Amino acid sequence: MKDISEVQLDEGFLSEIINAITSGIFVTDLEHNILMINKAGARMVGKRPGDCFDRKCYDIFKTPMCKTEFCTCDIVTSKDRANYGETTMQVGDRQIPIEYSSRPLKNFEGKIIGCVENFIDISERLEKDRIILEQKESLLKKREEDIRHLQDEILELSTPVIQVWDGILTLPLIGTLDSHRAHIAMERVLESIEQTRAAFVIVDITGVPIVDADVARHILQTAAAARLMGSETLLTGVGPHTARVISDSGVSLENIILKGRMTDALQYAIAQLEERRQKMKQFSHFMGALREDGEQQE
Amino acid sequence: MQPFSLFSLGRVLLVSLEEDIDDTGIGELLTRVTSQVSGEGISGVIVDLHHFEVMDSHLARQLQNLARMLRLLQARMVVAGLCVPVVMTLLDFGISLPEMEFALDVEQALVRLQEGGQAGRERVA
Repeated sequence: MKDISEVQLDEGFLSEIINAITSGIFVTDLEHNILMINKAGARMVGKRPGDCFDRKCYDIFKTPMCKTEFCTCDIVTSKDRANYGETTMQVGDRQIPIEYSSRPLKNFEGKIIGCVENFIDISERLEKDRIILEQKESLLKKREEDIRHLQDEILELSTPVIQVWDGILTLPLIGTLDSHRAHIAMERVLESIEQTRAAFVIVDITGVPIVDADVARHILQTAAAARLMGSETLLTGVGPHTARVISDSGVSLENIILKGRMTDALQYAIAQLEERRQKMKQFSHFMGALREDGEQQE
Repeated sequence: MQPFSLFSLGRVLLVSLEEDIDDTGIGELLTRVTSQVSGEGISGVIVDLHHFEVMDSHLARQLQNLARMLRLLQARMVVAGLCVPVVMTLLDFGISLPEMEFALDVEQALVRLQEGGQAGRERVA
């Protein structure tokens, strides 16, 4: 066995080296005739190197860009520059994705006499890319789900409906109020009214930094809904800025009782409830008297 | 079997509707309620709808109609017992029923009529 440095670099040995390379290499002349192809390249198209010599490259490789203006051989030979890309080649009834790079081949005088192409099978790489992409997507999906879950959780937390008195609910709103959140708040208020049979709902917007026409409309909608249920809505915490926005937007607050602070609203509601309780007492006396009348008549 | 029932409670008339009430039923209801209100000097009508899980816009319009008629007969109308799904549908349809009053249940409706009733008498006096 001779040392590698002692091997003479003749033509035979060069072709040995080229054949030992695992990627496909072939050389064509200006008429697309294959002058040389290595073993790996021929194997990729299911042939032996001997079968490919002197045949047109487009008959052997059959890519979608063959015989079009995108033919890489034509590009490199006409423009005298390297060309890279990805394509597929038709082998039997199989499509093999490949990555190729081509360079012009020049003789000793610097004249372009052909084209050298180097190509590799990238189906495995594409498959791997696909798996990675899939994994990425599923991870992203999971993350999105988590975020949505958290958002729901926050919404749940951010629209608390508290019963502060018998028959009085409060909805202290904090943070920005978009239509989604307003809708949830409305639903929760209605459900709470149904459960607790509250006659008053106090909506406090002290903690809402930006109140625009939409927010005002949402609050009004909630008040309209509460009215249909048979409850009255009080709005507290309207600052000077909010007052201006609401008056500018032209949203009418007819179904809403406005109070300055939560304390005022509570006092008002409690007083109203007490008054109603008295009325109810009178009424039941009245009904009782009616019943006694009826019995006496009998 | 009538799709509605009327109970007279002194100056208040309680109307209870069944969910399957149809057009003829509604027509009969309007006639009976209005004649009773004008004949017996009733000042308040309570319409109890707690049986209803769905309400269409047609029925809503008929109720609106009834409320308007009752107003002409100097009686107030309070709708009691709308449930959450019905309220949400009405709002989604943009129906706000402006000429009616609402109460959580019949008891609260009675209280409400008591409140306003006095105010009404004061106005007359």
